[in-house]
Amino acid sequence: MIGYLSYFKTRFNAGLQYKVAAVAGLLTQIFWGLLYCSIYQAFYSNTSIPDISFKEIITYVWLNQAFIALIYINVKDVDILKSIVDGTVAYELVRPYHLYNWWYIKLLAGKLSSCLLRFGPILLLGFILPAPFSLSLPYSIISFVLFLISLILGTILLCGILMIIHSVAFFTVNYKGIFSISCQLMALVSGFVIPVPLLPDIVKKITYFMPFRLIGDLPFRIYSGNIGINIALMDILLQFIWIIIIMIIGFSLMKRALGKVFIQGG
Amino acid sequence: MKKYFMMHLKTSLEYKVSFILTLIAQLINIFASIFVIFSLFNKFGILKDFSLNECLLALSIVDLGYYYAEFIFRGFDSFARQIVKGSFDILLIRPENIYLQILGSEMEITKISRLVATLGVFIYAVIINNINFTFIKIITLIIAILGSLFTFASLMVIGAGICFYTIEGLEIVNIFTCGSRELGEYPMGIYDKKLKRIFTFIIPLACVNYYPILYILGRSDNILFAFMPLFTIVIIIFSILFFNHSLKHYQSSGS
Repeated sequence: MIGYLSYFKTRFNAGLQYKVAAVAGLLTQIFWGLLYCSIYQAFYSNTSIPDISFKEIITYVWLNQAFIALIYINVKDVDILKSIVDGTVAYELVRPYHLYNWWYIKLLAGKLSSCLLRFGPILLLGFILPAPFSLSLPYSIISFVLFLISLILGTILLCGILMIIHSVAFFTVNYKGIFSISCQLMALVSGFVIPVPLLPDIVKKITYFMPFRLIGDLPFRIYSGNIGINIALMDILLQFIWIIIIMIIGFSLMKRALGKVFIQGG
Repeated sequence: MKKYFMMHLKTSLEYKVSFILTLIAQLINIFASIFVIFSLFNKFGILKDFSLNECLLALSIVDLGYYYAEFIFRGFDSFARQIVKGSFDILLIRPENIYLQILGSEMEITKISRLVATLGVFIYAVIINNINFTFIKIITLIIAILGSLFTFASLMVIGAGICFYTIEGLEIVNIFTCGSRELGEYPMGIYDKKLKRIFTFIIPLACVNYYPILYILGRSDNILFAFMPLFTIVIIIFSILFFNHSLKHYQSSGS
């Protein structure tokens, strides 16, 4: 356990070193935030829809940009993929820790450090922006607490999903294409590309049978009050269930993969 | 140019499964942006006074320009890598035109799927809008697409020019190309005045996806709108001058 903890600390601190990248990322996120605000403003200018209000959408956009590191699916961990492909994974296996936990911690630490470097300024900017584009305060104190809980659970869930996709590299050398295709499809139904309430009704129904909307869409909508307390509690329970399912799948997938690993020496 | 193309085609085809998977991945990218627009119109019905079909025309003009520019001018788009590696020096000592060499230095064959897909969207948009074609409207459409292509190309060339000073690639430049495309997928007229001005006079995308469309769709008889795409010449000339000027400042990073 201490080993895992100190590995987490190392990876977390390593992540904090990329300060220049964080500043560049910050500007990118702010730019995209403003861009999406402008697009939604145009759509909402002469129509309003029952599913989600303009104010809620703007809040959604800024939260999405601020916590992008925690919820963005399409991020490869190059080290993990490379170690699988070129065989250095053998070194990792020598360690007295389970590889699943080891890599899971690496992914989680990377996401948290990268989020920590950029979420503050974006939220601050969101709050001080003038009226139509400003980030609103949480709907209520309870929804803010539930927002925090579901955001944490969402991140845990996302890392579990990423572990499954990364394990694909054990089975095929064409992982790049598969990775990119699956990530883009997942992003489409997770609310990252377009908020779930704005999806066509049929697609929206399908997303309720998948775990992806629980990553970012759920916490952001709890924050703005678009999802009420009761439904939020149910969805948080659902997050727990999905985390368990995803972790079992990931764990057994890796077990199968490691059973087949053959080290050629060299 | 043809030699460069064949060379890149052959390398890609060496890995067949990977090639096909990447093709699909590229297509999903286009599918995603169309899907978003369909979803939004499914909810909202109308965007200011533009219908879905009219938006698709604006989208396809910008996307055609962007994806074709990305394909043809890829060498400029990823120019930073050449500067960092120092491989740009090799290009300089060859007795060939420098622009042609940068163009040929990199090409992603898999992106052809995007070119075909955007062309499909464009043809669909033209048919579905029932345009009353006149000679001028055809000319307008052609110069709009070319204008869009060269606007994005100019942004990439300017980005490459900046690399001479910064030595590393700047994400900021990427924001301008990708961001402009994202905004340009809707007719520029829907945005507020300031944004519209920026995209008319600085990055002239409104000149290719808004004013000419008004003319083509018969919303406006203003003949000036029909020839607005010609205004993109300003940014083209600026980008070439800027690149040439920066080139003189080039100091090799060694390797």
